[in-house]
Amino acid sequence: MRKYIEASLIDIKISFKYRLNLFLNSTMLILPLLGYTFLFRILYTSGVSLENYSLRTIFTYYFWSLLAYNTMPVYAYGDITHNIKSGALSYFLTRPMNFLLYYYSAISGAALIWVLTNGIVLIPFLYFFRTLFVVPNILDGMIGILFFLLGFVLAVLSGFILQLTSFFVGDPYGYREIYGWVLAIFGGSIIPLDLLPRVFLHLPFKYFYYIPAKAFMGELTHIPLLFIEVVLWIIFFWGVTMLIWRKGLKKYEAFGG
Amino acid sequence: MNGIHIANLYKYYRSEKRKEGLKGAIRSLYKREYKEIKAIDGITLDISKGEMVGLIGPNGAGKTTLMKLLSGVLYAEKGRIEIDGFVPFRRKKEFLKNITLFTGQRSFLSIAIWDLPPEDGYELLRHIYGIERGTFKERLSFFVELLKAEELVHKPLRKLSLGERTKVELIASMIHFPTYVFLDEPTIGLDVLSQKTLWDFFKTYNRETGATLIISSHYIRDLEELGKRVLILNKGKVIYDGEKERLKSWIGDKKYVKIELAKPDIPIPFKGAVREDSTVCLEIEKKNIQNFIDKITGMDGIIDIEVTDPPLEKIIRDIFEKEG
Repeated sequence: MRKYIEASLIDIKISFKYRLNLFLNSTMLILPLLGYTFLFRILYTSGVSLENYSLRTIFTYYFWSLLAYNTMPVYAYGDITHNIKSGALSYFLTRPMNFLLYYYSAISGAALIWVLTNGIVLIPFLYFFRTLFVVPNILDGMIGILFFLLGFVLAVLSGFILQLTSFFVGDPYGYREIYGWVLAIFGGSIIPLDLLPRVFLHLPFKYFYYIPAKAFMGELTHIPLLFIEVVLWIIFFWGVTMLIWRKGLKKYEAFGG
Repeated sequence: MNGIHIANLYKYYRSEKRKEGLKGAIRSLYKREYKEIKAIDGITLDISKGEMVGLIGPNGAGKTTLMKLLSGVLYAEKGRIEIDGFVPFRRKKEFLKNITLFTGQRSFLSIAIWDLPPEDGYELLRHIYGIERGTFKERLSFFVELLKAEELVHKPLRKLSLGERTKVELIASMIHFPTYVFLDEPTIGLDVLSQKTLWDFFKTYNRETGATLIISSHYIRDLEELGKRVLILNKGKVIYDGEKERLKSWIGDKKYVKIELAKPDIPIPFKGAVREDSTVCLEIEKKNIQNFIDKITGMDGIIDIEVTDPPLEKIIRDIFEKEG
């Protein structure tokens, strides 16, 4: 276990090496959030409303969903594709370690730093927009963190599945873009899923952004059911990941490495 | 069973046959043809524990593929490999703790800690191999001293030169004291001094730890540095498996000389010279080299002289002739 903690620490050290990038990453959250805030302020002051959402709840929703969007490693690092394509995967395969767990740890280390730096940058921003932000109570905060963490595991596995297809297709860049858009729409970072047709609420992507956001807002119902559902999705995604991994290793040609 | 046992080993690659030009590129959108390449073609051999074996062959002979099959990276379609009773592709922890695969130029550290100093990568490896801190420190100092890398382990990896990087990568590959060491062209791209350091290191490691080393190279000049036993691979087959000295006696006492002339019509008064435009090639007995150089440097119109070992392709041809 210690080796995976060390892998996380390595990624944290690397993140600190590029400190400017680290803080600039937060703009990926602030800029769209500002855009949404101005748009909805205009809409709401002109009398338009979005079903159950007030200006405060829509601002809070976008805050949490964009924070998740900016932190969830849905692509699970392009490094995995690069390692497979370049043959560098061999350096991991010849060591007594689990390659996927190694990357999971590395991603987690980096994500922890993203959350913290995003948090630091967001505090003054939130203070400025304090009248629009609904502060979660302790219980909602804890449920939010729980679903955020479960969504994180699902996001990493989903990214693994995408990247591991490199064993068969070389480079999945063709559908990586489509996947990104699918996640943004089906995950709820562009439009809250309860404003879309109900079918979107039956897909696993809701756990990436929509469910954590709703959990922090204290608007989740049937929490135990959602918990069981996300665990089942994690098991399913993990099964698919392992299947692709095992099949892929037999096809791996280790060129270049 | 101890040692390496390989029986009827085959490894194929599938490669796309793409026709050249725009027409070929458009055609590949709807119809693709593949050809099968036999990278390893029915190899059977045994290597005892503690041996230092040289693996020589031209590019594409199957050396790297064999190394990767031995270290469990590649899956063999047919045949059997066993190392101390382990099947490499199953990658059991006990097996992986005892092997290493080192390829020249780049390796694990370049992928894991490119922006950080090697010492951070070594700490990660300490945990990966579960090495106790005291033992780890001893080993690290042993390798650092042997490879003269004291200064290098504290600098960010990306700031090191190729030779320096090879040294720190080599430490990373050896820190767990593997008993099976697969070195794939470990000295490629290095200057002569660094090459010498590495060759000395491999010999010392083999002598002091009793580890099995398999070292590949596509330079016949590395023959001197490799172990007693040499394997020559060509088109996926072992065409020579025997003593280095026997092979050297076959190669003989000749050197290859390539002379570049200022003009193609400059006469070269040596027997057996083969001319191609402004380049002349000939074979010279080793004992006559000095005499030959004295004569040729006194001639007008000579731009460059290169003295090398016989090309590997010629040695392979000779082996086929001698071994029938």
